[in-house]
Amino acid sequence: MTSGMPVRVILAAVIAVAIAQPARAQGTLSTQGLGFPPGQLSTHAKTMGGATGETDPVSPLNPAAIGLLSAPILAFHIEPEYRTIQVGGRSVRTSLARFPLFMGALTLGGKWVVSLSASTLLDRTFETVTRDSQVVSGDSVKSTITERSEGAINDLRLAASYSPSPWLKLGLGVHGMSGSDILQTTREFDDTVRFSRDAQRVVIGFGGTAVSVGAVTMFPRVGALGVTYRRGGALRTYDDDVVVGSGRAPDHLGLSAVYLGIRGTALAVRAARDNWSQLKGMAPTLNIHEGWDIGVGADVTGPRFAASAIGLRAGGRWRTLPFSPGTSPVKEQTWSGGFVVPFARRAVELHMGALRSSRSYDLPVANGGPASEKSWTLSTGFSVRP
Amino acid sequence: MKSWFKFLKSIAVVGGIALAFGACDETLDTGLACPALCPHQQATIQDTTFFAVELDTSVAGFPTLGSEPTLVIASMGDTLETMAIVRYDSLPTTFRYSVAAEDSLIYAVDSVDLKIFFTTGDTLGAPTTLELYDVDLGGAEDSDPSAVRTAFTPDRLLATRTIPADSMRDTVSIPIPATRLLAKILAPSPGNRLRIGIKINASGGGANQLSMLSSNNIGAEPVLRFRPHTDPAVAKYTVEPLSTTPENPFIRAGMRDYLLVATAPPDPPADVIRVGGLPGRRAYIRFDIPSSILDSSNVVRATLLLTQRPNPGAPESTDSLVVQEFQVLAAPAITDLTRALLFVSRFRSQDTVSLAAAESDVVSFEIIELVRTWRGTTAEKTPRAMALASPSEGSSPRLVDFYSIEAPEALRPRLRISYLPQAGGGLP
Repeated sequence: MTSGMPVRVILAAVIAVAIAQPARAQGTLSTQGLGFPPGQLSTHAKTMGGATGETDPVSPLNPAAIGLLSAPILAFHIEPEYRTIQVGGRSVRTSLARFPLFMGALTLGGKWVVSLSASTLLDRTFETVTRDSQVVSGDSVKSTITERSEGAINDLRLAASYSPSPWLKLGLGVHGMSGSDILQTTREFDDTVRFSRDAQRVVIGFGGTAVSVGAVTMFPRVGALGVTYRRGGALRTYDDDVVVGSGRAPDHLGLSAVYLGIRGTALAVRAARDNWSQLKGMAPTLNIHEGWDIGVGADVTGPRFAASAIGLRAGGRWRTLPFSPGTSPVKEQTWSGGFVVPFARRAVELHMGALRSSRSYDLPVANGGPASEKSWTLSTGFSVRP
Repeated sequence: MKSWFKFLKSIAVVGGIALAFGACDETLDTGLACPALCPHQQATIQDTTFFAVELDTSVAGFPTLGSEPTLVIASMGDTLETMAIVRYDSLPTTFRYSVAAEDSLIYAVDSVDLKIFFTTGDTLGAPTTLELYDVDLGGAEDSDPSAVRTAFTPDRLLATRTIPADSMRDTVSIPIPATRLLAKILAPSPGNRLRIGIKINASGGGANQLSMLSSNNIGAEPVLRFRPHTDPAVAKYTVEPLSTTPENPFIRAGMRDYLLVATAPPDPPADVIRVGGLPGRRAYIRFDIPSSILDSSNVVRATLLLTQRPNPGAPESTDSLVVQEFQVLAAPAITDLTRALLFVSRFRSQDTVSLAAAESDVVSFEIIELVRTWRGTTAEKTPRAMALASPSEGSSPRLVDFYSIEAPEALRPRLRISYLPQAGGGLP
């Protein structure tokens, strides 16, 4: 690489950013209730349909999985999502930025690994813009209402893994569920002489706990199994210091099976279930649904360049979203693919993947009829082994 | 192969940076599937009306004497009688021939007239008759400018001219007998000055109103013109208004010319506040609004509701007058309302209301912009006061009356507040 390379790289990046500017958008199927669950999965796991979620050391689900790390690691992920929703023959596009995962792990001797991670349990970021017309004191008053929510319930996990034997990892995680949601509602009146802009801001907080245990077993050249159980503790909603809602953090039970019997290939399957209904008391009008989160995926060793090999990944995922606008659930189906590019003798890895998700819901005809939502998520993960 | 790998790595870095920074931009505006998919339902605007005015009154004297941009000369009998007073307190006593090396004393004058500029003139209606009077009372008017009302007597008449309507363009000249001016020029001090009262004579069906420009309009002030000799070769003088009294230079400057209101409409009764008229009146209204309302961010509209009292006897009672609301900037330390009403400011976004004196209705003044300025302040620092005035204040005899807080309850001023309910807890 010549000295001129960084300039070209930055210039190309600027152009790429410019091209990536999003279009307009809509109220979404995915951001209902307390928000959208990104899944607490790394880019690696997501591009495999989430199938390795319970054995992936970077995904903060199974505390035992961090025992698979042989060196300290820092990782973070970025996930812009570009959605298109269709209702009644009309479609609108939106974009959303997420930073769903930060993680650091430290190896202690040959048997212990500890990690600290922050991941998004439920992302409640949305904005709606609607027109309103009311008759006030005999006058017809028209206005534009913008409601914007920015916030999330995050899962802060401190985990430790112990390896009693080379083929078994056991883990324990302590979780703090925290976060806030800033909801801003502004109303701009068409008549700016008679009316003044109204802006209201509400900040709600979340706080709770959970504990998780897990195990990973390794069968060399055959496969691996990972199992996770997270027990949700109390999870409360706060308005300032006042508790305005309470429930429990969702229990999580997940199992991943990975087949390594084919050289250079990993085939995986995962089934997981979250008891989202434990959030019932957090808010007064939640439509909560529970369902399986099923994923399958493959990771194959791709072409080798220089001293490194590029890993190619693909997968599929089917799950039920926890919140919906009505009594029936929103189903999501995702197809994914991606790759990993190592740098600096694998000290740095860039994971990239694209996820194509489809969600659908039968809205009443009065509200526009069946609604569908399709999205592209560009998942990018950086991991550094210092 | 190695260069291919470098290229691929470059692409990966570019993509990573693009994603990292491109992802920071969000577009979330929605609405397509609302209300079905939108998390919150729209709130209904509510309103409440209450008696929030604790003090209201109207004060006359705007614009202040001598600061009028126009001088409305009117002759409406018992309804309104006004005259313009113009002072030429420094008359020249010498002149110079074009070929002379020294000045000569003036001993004769010629071609004397008064030229005035006016803003209104009815070029299709009745002719306008203007009368000029010598209103120099020898000093009595220095302490009381209104004393000159007694000077409009036949023996003081200087000149009169009837101008046909089609000649009412933008200026008019009224010839003055040369002997009257010469007598003033030759008189010993302080009598060597000319103070002219301009009156309109509407008897016989003539026009009853004329708005002339005052000396506050540079280049359009009323001027006295004359030739200081009978020889037509001598150039004419043009004398601009000047007052040598009183001693205060600011007041003296204003007294170059001013409006004399000889007969004004009756003062409003105690239960009425008045806007406009001659002399011009401004209404002062002070509110007592609970801080819980003022400090609420949810107030989206504030409307002052005033009930107009019909006044068919007012000048031009069927013609409309524009009334506007103003913010009173004077600190509470200024308790003299006349002075407080000098410090007013227009709203940024202002609504205007056109009203005729003979009408009666409930009139709305939108004051949300004013109410918003009171948020987070105290009445001790920022008076909860506003003013009502007319943009044509001092330039029009029209006026509008409103019932005050001393009127029966149904007619009193009220404040209507429109607000949105406080947002809920932010939870679905």
